[in-house]
Amino acid sequence: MKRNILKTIVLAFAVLLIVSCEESFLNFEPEGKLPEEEFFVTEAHAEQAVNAAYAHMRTWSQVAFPLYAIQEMPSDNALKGSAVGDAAFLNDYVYFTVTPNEGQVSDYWSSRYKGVNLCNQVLSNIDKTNTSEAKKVRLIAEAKFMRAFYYFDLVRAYGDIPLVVNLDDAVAEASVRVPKADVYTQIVNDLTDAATDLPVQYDSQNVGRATKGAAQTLLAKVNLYLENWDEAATLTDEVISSGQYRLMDDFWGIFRIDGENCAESVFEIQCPYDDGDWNLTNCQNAEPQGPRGDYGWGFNVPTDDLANAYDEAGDTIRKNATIIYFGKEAPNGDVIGGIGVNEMEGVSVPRYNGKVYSTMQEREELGWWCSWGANVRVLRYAEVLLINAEAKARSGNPSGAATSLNMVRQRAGLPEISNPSVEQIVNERRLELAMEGDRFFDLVRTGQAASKLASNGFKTGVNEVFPVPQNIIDMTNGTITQNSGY
Amino acid sequence: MKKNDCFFRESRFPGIQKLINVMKLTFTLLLISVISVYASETYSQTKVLNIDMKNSTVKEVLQNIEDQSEFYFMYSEKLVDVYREVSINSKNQKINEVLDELFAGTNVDYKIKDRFIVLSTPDGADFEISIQQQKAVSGTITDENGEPLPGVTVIIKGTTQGTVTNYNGEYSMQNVEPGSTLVFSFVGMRSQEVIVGDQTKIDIVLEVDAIGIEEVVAVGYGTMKKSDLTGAVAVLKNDDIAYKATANAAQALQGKVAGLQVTNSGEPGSSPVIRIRGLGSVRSNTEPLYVVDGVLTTDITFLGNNDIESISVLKDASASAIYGVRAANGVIIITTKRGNKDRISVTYSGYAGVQVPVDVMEMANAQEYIQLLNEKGEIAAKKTGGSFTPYDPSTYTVSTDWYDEVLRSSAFTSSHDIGFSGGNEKTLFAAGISYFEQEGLMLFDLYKRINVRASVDSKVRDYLKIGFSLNLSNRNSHNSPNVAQAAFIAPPAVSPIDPETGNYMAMTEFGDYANPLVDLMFIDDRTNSNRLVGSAYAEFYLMKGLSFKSSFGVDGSYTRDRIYREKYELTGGTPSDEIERLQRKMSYDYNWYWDNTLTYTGQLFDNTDITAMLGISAQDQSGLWLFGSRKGVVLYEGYNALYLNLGTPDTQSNDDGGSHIASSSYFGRVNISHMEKYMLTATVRRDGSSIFPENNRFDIFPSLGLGWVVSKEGFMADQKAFDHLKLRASWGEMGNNRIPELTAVGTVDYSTWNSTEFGGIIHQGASATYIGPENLLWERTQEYDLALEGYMLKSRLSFEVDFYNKKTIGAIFPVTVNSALGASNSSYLDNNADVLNRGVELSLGWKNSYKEFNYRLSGNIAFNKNEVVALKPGTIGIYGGWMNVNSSTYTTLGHPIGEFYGREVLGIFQNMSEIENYKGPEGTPVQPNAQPGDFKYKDQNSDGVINDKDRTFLGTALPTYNFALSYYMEYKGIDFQVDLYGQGGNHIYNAKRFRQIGNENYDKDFYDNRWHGEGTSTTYPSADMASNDNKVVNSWTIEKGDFWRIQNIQLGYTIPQSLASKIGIGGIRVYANAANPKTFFKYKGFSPEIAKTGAEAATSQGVDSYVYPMAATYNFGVNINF
Repeated sequence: MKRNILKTIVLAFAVLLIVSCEESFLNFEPEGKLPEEEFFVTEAHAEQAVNAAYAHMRTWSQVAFPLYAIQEMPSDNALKGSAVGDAAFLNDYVYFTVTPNEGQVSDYWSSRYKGVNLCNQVLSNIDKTNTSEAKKVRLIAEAKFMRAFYYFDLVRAYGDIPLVVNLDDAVAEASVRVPKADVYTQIVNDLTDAATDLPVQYDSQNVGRATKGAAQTLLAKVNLYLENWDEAATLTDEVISSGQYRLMDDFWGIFRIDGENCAESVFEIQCPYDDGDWNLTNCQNAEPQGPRGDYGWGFNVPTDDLANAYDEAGDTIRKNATIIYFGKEAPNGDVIGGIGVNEMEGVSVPRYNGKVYSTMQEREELGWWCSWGANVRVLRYAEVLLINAEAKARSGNPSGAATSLNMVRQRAGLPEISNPSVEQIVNERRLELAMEGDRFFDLVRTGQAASKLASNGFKTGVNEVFPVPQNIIDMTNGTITQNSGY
Repeated sequence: MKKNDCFFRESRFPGIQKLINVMKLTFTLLLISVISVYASETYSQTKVLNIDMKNSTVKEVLQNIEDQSEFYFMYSEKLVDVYREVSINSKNQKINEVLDELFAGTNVDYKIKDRFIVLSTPDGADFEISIQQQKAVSGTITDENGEPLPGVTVIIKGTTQGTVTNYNGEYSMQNVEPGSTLVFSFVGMRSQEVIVGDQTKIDIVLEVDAIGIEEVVAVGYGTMKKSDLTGAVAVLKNDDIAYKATANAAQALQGKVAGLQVTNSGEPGSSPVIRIRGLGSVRSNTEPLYVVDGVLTTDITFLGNNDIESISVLKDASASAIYGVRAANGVIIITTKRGNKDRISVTYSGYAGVQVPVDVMEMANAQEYIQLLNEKGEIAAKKTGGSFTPYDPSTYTVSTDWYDEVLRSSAFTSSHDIGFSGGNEKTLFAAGISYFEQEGLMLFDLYKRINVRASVDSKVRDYLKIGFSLNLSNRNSHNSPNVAQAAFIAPPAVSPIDPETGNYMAMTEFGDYANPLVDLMFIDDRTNSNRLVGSAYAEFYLMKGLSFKSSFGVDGSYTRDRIYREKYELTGGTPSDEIERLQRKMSYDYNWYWDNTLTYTGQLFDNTDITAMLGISAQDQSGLWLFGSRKGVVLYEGYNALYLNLGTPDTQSNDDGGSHIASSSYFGRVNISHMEKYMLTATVRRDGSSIFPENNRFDIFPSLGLGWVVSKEGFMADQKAFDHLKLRASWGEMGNNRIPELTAVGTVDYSTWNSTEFGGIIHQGASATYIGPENLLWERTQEYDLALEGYMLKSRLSFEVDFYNKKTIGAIFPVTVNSALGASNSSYLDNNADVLNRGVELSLGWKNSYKEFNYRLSGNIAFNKNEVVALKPGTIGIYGGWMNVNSSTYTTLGHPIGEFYGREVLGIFQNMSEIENYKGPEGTPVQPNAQPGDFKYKDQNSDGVINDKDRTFLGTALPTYNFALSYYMEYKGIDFQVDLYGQGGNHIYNAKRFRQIGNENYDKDFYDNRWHGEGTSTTYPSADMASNDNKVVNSWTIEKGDFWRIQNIQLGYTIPQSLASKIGIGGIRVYANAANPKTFFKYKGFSPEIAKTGAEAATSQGVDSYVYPMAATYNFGVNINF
């Protein structure tokens, strides 16, 4: 008996020597996670990967501080706002003192490249999945639309940039800047493909995905930047004649939660709201712009210059919907609360971007944090008409321009202009699309930046683009170069 | 055995390869011998002898048999004629056959019992006679003062026969042969040997052995005599920590060991931040490894001070390398309470006391606050060109002291421990139960812990010892949210409660500030956890000097967290819809280990002892957690109906996760000691860990230590100065595998931020865009240690000084991912930096006695310098210490980890002309937007503007030295002890004060010293701290963190023995204790101790944002010996 026990123990010892030497003891799959080798196998994986590229559009760096900092605050439309000193770094964008280390510059950059990568993942891997052919064509087109969307932001903000389109060559592509013309070529190609393959509309369970109209509109907008007026006019004519879209009567209503995916919407970022899931409910576009001391933080506030522009145009409908003042009534009757007079940085009477305001009724009905679920409007039919007008005006078709322009003016309650100038159309763009993220790029594109922004410190030849983030310059040992002047 | 290449995996050390092969061979041989030994039950039947002797005496033949076998003989030469000449030739015969032949024709008979053979004559009485010739010996053992010593071990040399002295120091032994030698030994005393001769009464006075030569120290997978150590190992006994009123043993370590830095936070029951010999990593875990009765763990908050028998702190590589890939941060080996073989003892120790907040910062009151706001508003308006309407001070009659509201003025704490232990020669046991309770300073904070412990060690057979230890602990806590920061910034000119409705105020009058009381009152956060740490072992004594030990241990815990937020209404604010939200989390962790070691102890040559140990270890750590939450769970009477199923289903949320890490290791150690004068310790460990990529999983960690007891050399014989002088030198390599799990593995991210909504329906999304390291390895630390230790002046003075140089090679340092690649991670962890810690540690002790007056004085001081000495090309430094999106530290080449980095303040602008005259190289004002009262910054790069490029290094966050001083005295039952502790050389970022972004409150020191007009201050800015240039990290906000404190004062009285025994107990000691009654520091915060934990702790040292006051604890206690 004793012998047996002892033998067993000794045997166990010997066995352990072998067993623990087995590498299998150390080899197991990660707990609770799917290894990446198991991805891109099924059609579901392909769809999930495309969905992730959409989902990325609503993340902080896409829709919050970096967006305001790059696309709105440098323009004559907006100031930092909020309390004195809170997020003071945003003033670097208002006053053109930004340095390559500033966080918004690098967040804007890296976030959009993340979006590009999510699209590249789909485009490079979808052939490994068992996705049906029809679905594959659509998913590829969606990915191309989004890749163009992300690159359009990048090329406008930074000029020449690394152009990463191929996963196999990604490291090499990411280490060198290409001329912005090459980036635009890629954008045009992707959008052209997308416009060909995307459906005109989706079933009710897929509303919000990129459509043919969205691709055409974005391509038309890109063509404004490329000064291809005819293409821009043709594309927008097609969108107009598709009959898919119309201007809504109530300008204020477009921007409310009830107005999401309305008939005027060409593309908007879908932002889910789920009370229990704050990873799903993570779109903070509206909250940082909401009334400070009420539900919001009070950043990215309209300037007096913008207010004056509305006043000069006699435009009260859009002014009241775009700029909401502390202590005054919003178009729906809410009295705007929050911090009081002299408590907002840069202005005496606090004011906010009305286009992202959560009404008290919405908060009452949908919940206090409902602004997190508000979709971000990217392309509206009004912009289709304004692109159309501008392209036609610039290509010598003032009557065509007037038709489109006046549809927009009419909705805003303004008199028609029979023979509009380019300047008038660009000004109309400002009034219609203010605080929607286009103004600074428009000022640069139309050559007005120097004159409009010099008083804020805009330097011609430097501030048309933002600095390339310092860390990519450091980590590539300078193969990525800095924009001049930074 | 399956051919497996993991033994032979290619190695960085070609020599090691060979060593492993040898080790393997040794193992095999040992196994064979083990198996053969275990056949010994029938040793006499199986052992065959070969004897071919002519004309030899019987004695010579018996000697021959003893030499070639394990038999030994016992006989009396008076009875057995062993000088009879014989010739004998036996081949392959068994013992009985040999003996039959040897004693054929004589009257000698033999009895074989196992390996023990008694020779006697047939009349039977002879053997008895020989026994009767043995005799009884007795005596009394006392110490130098004549006090009887209970528990002294008395054994007959060369046998296991022995006894221990009783409570009066008396012993008695039967059957002692006159020729035998008695050995008297007692821990802390010098052993004595006495030849019995014709004495029957042997009284001994044992002398205190200052060198602690007999002291046995746990060194990992075994023990060593302290005198044989070649590495830096500090040893603490229960007495060294049990007197402290701390929540757990880790907190009690502060100041106890040179080179061990302990930073406590004020939260009850929390684990302090412990660093052994500096900070070796930027992103890995830097806490030491704890080994509790063989169980490897990183958290010992489950242990109370009274659960502990001894602690060994392994500081250098020679000592720690036996723990291989987990040893780089040092190792703390904890042995829980064991029994004593002297007698059964039952003890009670307990205390109760109060904690009071100390050094509470005074804040500005309402009037001061309004004045500061008005000053601020006026200056800010000038900057922005706006106008400002001052607040009317007369309208603010309420002044709230928020710290008064959220802190307890006194918090209760108590501890009770009942211990029961004892044993005999063969079996020792210890059991106990303890209860600890501590209220936190934050309102409603409460921590309770119950521990039940048991251990048994039993030598059940002469070849087998088995034992186990178990510690079951239950923690029950109410965790108050840390509202320290909220209380700091909350405007004082607001009442906490609306007097009309009784509701809490929303506090929107001066901006959007959280009412600190709201979270405290309405968030109910409770944790309940059970943890069982237990291990069992069996140790076989296979043959002389060789033993095999197998131990298996588990560390299992189960934790429940429940956070409930009540529904509430605030006056003056919009209602929050965070209504009645219930969150529950359950987590379950289970770790096990299995260690097997073979140990040989013996003599290599004359005077040369060797201990060799070989072992293998397998470990497995796994855990999982499950989380769920719902809103709308209504609070009924009591808290018993807080269950998720009572909430609103459409608000539900759930999540879960798991982890799994395994490792397997081979290790060996050889200790050689020649004449107790020259010592060598060599260890090697080969580790494999699942956390690393499959192709990169194994590595080898060697170490070597040498010791030389100089005082034993002949040339030292005549000197009187040193009683003991020893030189130690060691080198070794250790690893650190504590990087986040899955660092090296790409997985698919199914988090719901990848999902989106189309048409009102959630569409699941997933991504796999992580870019990880290609060749990740553990951090590898190489350490040299040179030390001198000794005793002087009749062992009254002890000293130990260590110099060390510890270099972490391939420290985990984030590598920036090219952002244009669009990875989900902006950086990944890789082995990209070398970090050097160099330092000196000095410990001194003095003890003496004068008649009945005994006293001890001890102190230690340690210096450490930390520096990043290499960064791989392409690696960019790390910004850290983030606060309000501003970084405060920068970690880069040539600087310590996490050194503060910001702008350098030259002074305060007193007037406009100073601003206008501060011009850059091009003659334009450097700070054109400044106002009087703003900081004037140094233009480091002389480009005429102040921006991020003008940042510079502002001092290390890591203490460069720490020290402790302790005094103990005892006189006629009265004892008194005082401990001091201090540290310095470090800096603190006063982020608490510097979170000013709007109308936050100010502290009183700021109010008193601020700039408020020309000439009022040249160091403090105006109240406009929130505006752009004033609120960036700068040299004014980085303050010196030096401090020293009276850590403990204790006065005790032990009731005289005579009195105690009259009431039937062994002894009573009562005491009064003050813990942390006073800390001396200049830093403008609550406490200079900033305990940072978490993934980015290393680069966020000394950032003070949520620290609240430390507590002084005053308690009374009693220790009773039944």
